[in-house]
Amino acid sequence: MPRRLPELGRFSDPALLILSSLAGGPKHGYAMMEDIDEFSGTHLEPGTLYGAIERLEQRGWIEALPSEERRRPYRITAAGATALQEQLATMSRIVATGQQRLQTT
Amino acid sequence: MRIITWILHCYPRRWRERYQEEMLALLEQYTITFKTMLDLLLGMLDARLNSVYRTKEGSMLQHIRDNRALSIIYLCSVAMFLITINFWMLVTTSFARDPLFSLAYNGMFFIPIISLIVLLAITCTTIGKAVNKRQWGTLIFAVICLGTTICLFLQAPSVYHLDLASILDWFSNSFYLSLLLNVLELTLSFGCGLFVTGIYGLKLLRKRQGWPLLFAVLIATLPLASYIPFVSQSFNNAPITSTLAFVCLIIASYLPLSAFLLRLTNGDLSRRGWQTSRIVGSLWGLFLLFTLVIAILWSVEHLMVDGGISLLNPVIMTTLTLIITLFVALLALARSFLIQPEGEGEIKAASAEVSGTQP
Repeated sequence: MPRRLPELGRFSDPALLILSSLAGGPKHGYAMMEDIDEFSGTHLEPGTLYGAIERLEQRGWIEALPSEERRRPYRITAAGATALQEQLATMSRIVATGQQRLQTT
Repeated sequence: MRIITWILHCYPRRWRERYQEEMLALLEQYTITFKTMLDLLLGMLDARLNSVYRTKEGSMLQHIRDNRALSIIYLCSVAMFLITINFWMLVTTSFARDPLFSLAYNGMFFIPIISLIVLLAITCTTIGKAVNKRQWGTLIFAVICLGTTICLFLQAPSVYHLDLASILDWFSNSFYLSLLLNVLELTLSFGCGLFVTGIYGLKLLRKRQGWPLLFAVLIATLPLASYIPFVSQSFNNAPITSTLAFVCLIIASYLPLSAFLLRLTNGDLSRRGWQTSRIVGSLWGLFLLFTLVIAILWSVEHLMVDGGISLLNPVIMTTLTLIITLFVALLALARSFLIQPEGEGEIKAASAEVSGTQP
């Protein structure tokens, strides 16, 4: 399956944030939202969050764990970790190129 | 929280089975704002348009696809007929005395005729299949389509005031059929609407499904309700009025009838019928809004023409309206009938994995 976040359309950014959050360990929805808000300053609404979770689950990049008191934690899979790594590598190249060009101007 | 619960209830059933409980647990801890509700509505629309959550048709899939293709071709043919007959009329009016265009406007007359022949062929094919498979509901629908197709065929001269001494003109005028067919056309549209409401509505009442019943009533009455803006005084003098009204009556009849066809071929009344009725009703509502905007723009145009300023070209407006009509009709059918079994497999596998059972 192609590991390309842009195919998720309007959920590509939330998906990246969710994968980054889950890379730090399994979390349920509310914990993900708080973690994402803390490290990125982005506030995800529940509708967007679960839209992205649904798409990530369909692609096998995250998987659900057994529910704990009506809350269901998720964890990142190996495929999801690889997709996250590729996306972050691309973004790192963009950041490095941008910084380099700013320094020369 | 009651509004949130209502919004969540609008998500597809399969989505709710998977995510509703955890979503509610999250929302109970969350500060709900207007933005949250908007976001949930967007998420609902997204889930509704996601083919993964559509119900599986099982062994009826091939038969439904056949009927879907037939319905789409049917609507395309109706739209093609309306567009080409209108163009033919406009070209005839504008260039009747120009010898350079005589071949063009005579030749264009055959395009609507071909469209009608396609309509008849499809309808007869559907009737044949329905008789062979003893699908009486489909047969009734197809017979209604056949009757209305014949009305289109015979009514065209009287609606568009064709001056050609053609067999169509002779047939409809000689036997005073034009008046009868005008009434029959309206009766068929209204009759079909009552048919949908009657059969569908009674079954929904028996299952105590209020919301689907309400939408069934809306779909049944919209064909007439959509005509109302075009009989009011401010729109009466617009040349675009008759075309739009004709489109409203014809397309409005066939969209709910196509939805009814799907319900009959499916056999599962409650869920699929409800989804189809809601989608068709929503899209029809959008189309009605669009036609009202066009009618308003046309009224503004008329007012400005009196002052010597002309903004809109009627030919472009008519064409645009008919093209958008066709697009809406196709979109309604595609969204109502589209089934992707492979998406079905993915969601099933995911659900099975979560619950720890075999798919």
